Amino acid sequence: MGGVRQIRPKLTQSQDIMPSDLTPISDPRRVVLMAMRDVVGIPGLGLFFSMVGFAAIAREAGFGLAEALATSALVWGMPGQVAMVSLYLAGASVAVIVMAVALANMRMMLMVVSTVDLIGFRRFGTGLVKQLISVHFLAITTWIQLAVVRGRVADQAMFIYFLGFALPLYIIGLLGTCLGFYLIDIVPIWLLKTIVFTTPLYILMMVAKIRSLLFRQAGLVGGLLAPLLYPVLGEWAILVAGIVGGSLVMLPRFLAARKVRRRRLNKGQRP
Amino acid sequence: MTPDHPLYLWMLILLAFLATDIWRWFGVLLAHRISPESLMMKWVNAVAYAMVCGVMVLVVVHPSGIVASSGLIARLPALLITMVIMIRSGQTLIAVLAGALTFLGLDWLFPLS
Repeated sequence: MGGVRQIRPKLTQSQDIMPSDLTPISDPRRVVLMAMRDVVGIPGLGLFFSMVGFAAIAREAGFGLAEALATSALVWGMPGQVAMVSLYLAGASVAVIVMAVALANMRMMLMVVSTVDLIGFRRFGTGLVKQLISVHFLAITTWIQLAVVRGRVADQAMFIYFLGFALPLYIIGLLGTCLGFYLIDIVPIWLLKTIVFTTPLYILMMVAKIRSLLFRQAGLVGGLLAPLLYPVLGEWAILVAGIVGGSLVMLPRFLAARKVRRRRLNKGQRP
Repeated sequence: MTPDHPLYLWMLILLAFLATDIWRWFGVLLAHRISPESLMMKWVNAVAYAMVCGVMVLVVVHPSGIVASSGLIARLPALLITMVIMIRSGQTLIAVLAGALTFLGLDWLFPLS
């Protein structure tokens, strides 16, 4: 990952760095424009065609346009949507389908905790209802984008960036679901497949760009563990890979913190 | 409610919505109980990154949906080429495009069926 680290602007006094690289953007209009510019490109394109792909399998499963659109709008999480549609097609019971969707989307909870921290909902005293509504629009693409632009966008403008990125992405996703119903007959399968396949590549490369070495390591361990555990654990592999991977990279820090605590305790006992 | 009930699918969609957004709402409530600078917050983030990367690598290794109609022989080299270019150049766009083209070419050369 050495090469990745080199491209980041170093926060030194060197001449070749533009002032804009050093000062975070806080002007709301510029932040919204920046967010919307960031959506256009691989994030928007990948999500649009993922939703086209979803509409294709939803139609095959017997969903109407309204039902497919409602699923994208209300669930807004690809792994859960695909699980729901394919289990429905297989004739699974309601309980099985709902459990599968819940399992596939459990990671949302941790992504939301991370996002609430990144946006600074607590620090800026955003109302609870506003927060609960906002997080509905969170997708993996948006979360990783927030982590990457952190520092380039001023802390107080992160919520504006979130809205400027997540809401257009939501509209693009719903458009993809709608058009997917008809596009699937026109777009050749090889093209659709290739564009859908760029999403995992893109998300993984975005994780590689995150500033925190700890989180990059967590991603690496999780990414290696999940396919190894999958043959044994099936869909549970993601949950287990996440908890084991995350805990593994955190272990040195937990141990160090315990050492400090113990040292403090020992000092406290001495008169 | 039986599967042939006219509202069966709509009930299912509503339940899927609740099964998803309940995690999002728990996330908001949980976030307010964890101090931003704490080790716990770091752990939650580390687990989230590990999970998301797990999900994404599984799309490459065991895909469902439309990508499932391609072989591992197209998907795995595509991921490796993307990673190598990313490490060498740091250019996300070029790395992802090269990966996509690799996938396209290998899927054309070695179709699954």
